Amino acid sequence: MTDTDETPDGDDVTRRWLIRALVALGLGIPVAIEGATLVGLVESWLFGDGENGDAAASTTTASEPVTAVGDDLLPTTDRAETLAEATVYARDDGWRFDLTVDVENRGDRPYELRLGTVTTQDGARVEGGASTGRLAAGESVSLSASYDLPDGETPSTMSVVGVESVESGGERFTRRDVRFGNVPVRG
Amino acid sequence: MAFVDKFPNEAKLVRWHFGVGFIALAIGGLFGLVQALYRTGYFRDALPIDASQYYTVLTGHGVLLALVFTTFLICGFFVWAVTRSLDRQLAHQRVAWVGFLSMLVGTVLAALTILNGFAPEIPFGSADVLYTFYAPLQAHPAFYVGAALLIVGSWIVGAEYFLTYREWRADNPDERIPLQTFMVLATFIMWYLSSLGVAVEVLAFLIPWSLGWISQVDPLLTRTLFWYFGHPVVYFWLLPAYLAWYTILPKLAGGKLFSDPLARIVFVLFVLLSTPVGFHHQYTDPGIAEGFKFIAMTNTFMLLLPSLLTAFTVVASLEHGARQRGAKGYFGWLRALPWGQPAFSAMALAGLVFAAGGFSGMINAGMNINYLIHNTIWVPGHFHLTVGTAFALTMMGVSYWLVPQITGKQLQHKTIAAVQPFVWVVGMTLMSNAMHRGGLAGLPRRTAKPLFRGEGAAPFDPVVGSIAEMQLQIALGGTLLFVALAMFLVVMTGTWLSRSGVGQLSVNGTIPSPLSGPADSPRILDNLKVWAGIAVVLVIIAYGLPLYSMLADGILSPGAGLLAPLLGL
Repeated sequence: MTDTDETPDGDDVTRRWLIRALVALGLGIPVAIEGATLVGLVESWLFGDGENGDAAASTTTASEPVTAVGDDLLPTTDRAETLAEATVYARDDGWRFDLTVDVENRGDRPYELRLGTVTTQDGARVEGGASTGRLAAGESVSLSASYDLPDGETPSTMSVVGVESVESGGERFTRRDVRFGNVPVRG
Repeated sequence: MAFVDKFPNEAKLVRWHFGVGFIALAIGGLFGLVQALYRTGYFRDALPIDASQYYTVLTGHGVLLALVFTTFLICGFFVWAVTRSLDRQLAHQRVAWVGFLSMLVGTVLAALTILNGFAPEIPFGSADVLYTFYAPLQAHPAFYVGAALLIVGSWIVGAEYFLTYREWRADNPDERIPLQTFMVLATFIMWYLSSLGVAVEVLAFLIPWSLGWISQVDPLLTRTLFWYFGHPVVYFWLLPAYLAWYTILPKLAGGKLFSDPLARIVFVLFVLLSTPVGFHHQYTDPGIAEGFKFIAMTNTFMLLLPSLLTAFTVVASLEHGARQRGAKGYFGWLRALPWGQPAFSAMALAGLVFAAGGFSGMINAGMNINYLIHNTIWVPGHFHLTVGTAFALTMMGVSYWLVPQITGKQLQHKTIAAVQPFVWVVGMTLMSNAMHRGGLAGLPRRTAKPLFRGEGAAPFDPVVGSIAEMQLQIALGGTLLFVALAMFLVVMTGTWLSRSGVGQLSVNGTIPSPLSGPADSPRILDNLKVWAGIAVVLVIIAYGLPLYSMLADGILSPGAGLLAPLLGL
């Protein structure tokens, strides 16, 4: 024996059409979604990736290469500016990005490395930085900097400037927005 | 006579279980909406959480829904099933209430630690350890104590089912076990065997570790103990849904269960095969020999059989019911089914969606193709079809049918109830479809901002559709699911708060006898001791040597040797 809902006769037609609409939409929409997916999968298998793959490749080749720990921040200079450490610390009192750069002035003129503004993944700009000061030829130093990040955000880029003294008494600037890879987050 | 009139004490116990379960469902469901919107970036800034709190929300969503909502609904549902099918009161009401209280206290403890992630002033520390809790993530000890109390409480409630059966058996020495009680006992035999793993993990390792009594645990060992439990727990969720599909759904369709013996065989197969499969969650774990992963894989594929048998038997039962209502034609009988009845439509739609979840589960089970989707959002796409629909939507359908019988109140807001299952299925299809496609594209699971790296969708490689479209679909589907959940809670709240005794209930608990009854099956099927014994042997084969090698390597410190703790190493 089934459980039946007793409704007045006058509502039966309306109820019947409501149920038909429910079943049509409730089953039809999922079938349409899954059917479209199946067609898409078969097309992809038969005809390849097409636009999707090209778009991904072009985006990748157009972007700045990633700088990771061990890489040189300014590879075009003849000085060594090696990223020795880069970590984000997630604490209750806030997130902080700490980094250390080992700078060795291998040239024959004074040199200065300046670390500038950090931009996070979400586009927030965090002012701050550090500078080695004027390094004499042959001198080395480990430069540390710390940035207070918005909670939950990690660094995406950092502006870096290398300042080289030139013969005429002026200065030559090498600027770069260093792009970070996956900076580890520690609790 | 309604169940509440015939068994008022048991009805009260079921109401309390369902009530706590519904509260967990409401909070966990809200967390799900927050997750879906945050992760996809829709209205992210308007949400009251940040990226680190996403993992608090994620833990709350998983624990409250996959562990709390499920366990309470199952234990309450089974109280009804045992009482109704044996046609007698529980043997010891107090035992069942002690079990319920243990579950409740455990839930409150665990919930407080999770909520501490939003508000540190809440007692105890935090527990952002997700619902699959093992090292290296560490929660406050109260979380683990709470989890242990929840599991142990279910053991106690389960013991009451066996004690009541024992009394019935003493009065009925030659009768076959009534089908619903058979299913309950089989489920709990599987549950006792499988939950041993997580009990050992929590009591022997995680609680001492979180209290600082031991300085470290072996992540591989604790993961293995968790996943020893972590796969069969899905059958702890699924088998109650099967009980509903086998025994209630045919009646709602106007027919009878096609075959009682087939149903018993299915449950016996689950007793045997549910537990020795956990390594299929650890295919990428080092330290476990490939051969044992292969054993787990073959056992998992064998588990398809009882589900395919269920699909056959349930559909045959529905067809019988439809034809009893006068339906004709090869497929025309589908239209004659009572799709306007929310109890029926919820369960039937849940079964249909479960088939899709089963197919994606086959991908997860295959050792090589698992690597394509491991740790991607494909995995939540899969289990939202299974526990999220096969269990949850079925229990909603059961509630539409059973809550009037345990309260003595008419179901309220029947039009909302009639629409709700369809809204759920549309929402779930949208969300799960996009999750599966996203997983194939490489979108990670358990990640607050999968597109956070400023490169947008560039690192991912979708096969069908774009990442942006998938994100929108997940947000839309998750929102529809929340709407459907709200509809269900409106119906339940309205029903619960309505006046009792108003007219006669339009539902009744009469379950017609099956077309092929228990007498058509061999008696050995009812010998649950035999099946339990074989299940233990299969577990020893699947887990014995791997666990021994992990322990011998060093219980707490891999490489230190078996006696390291005694030697102070």
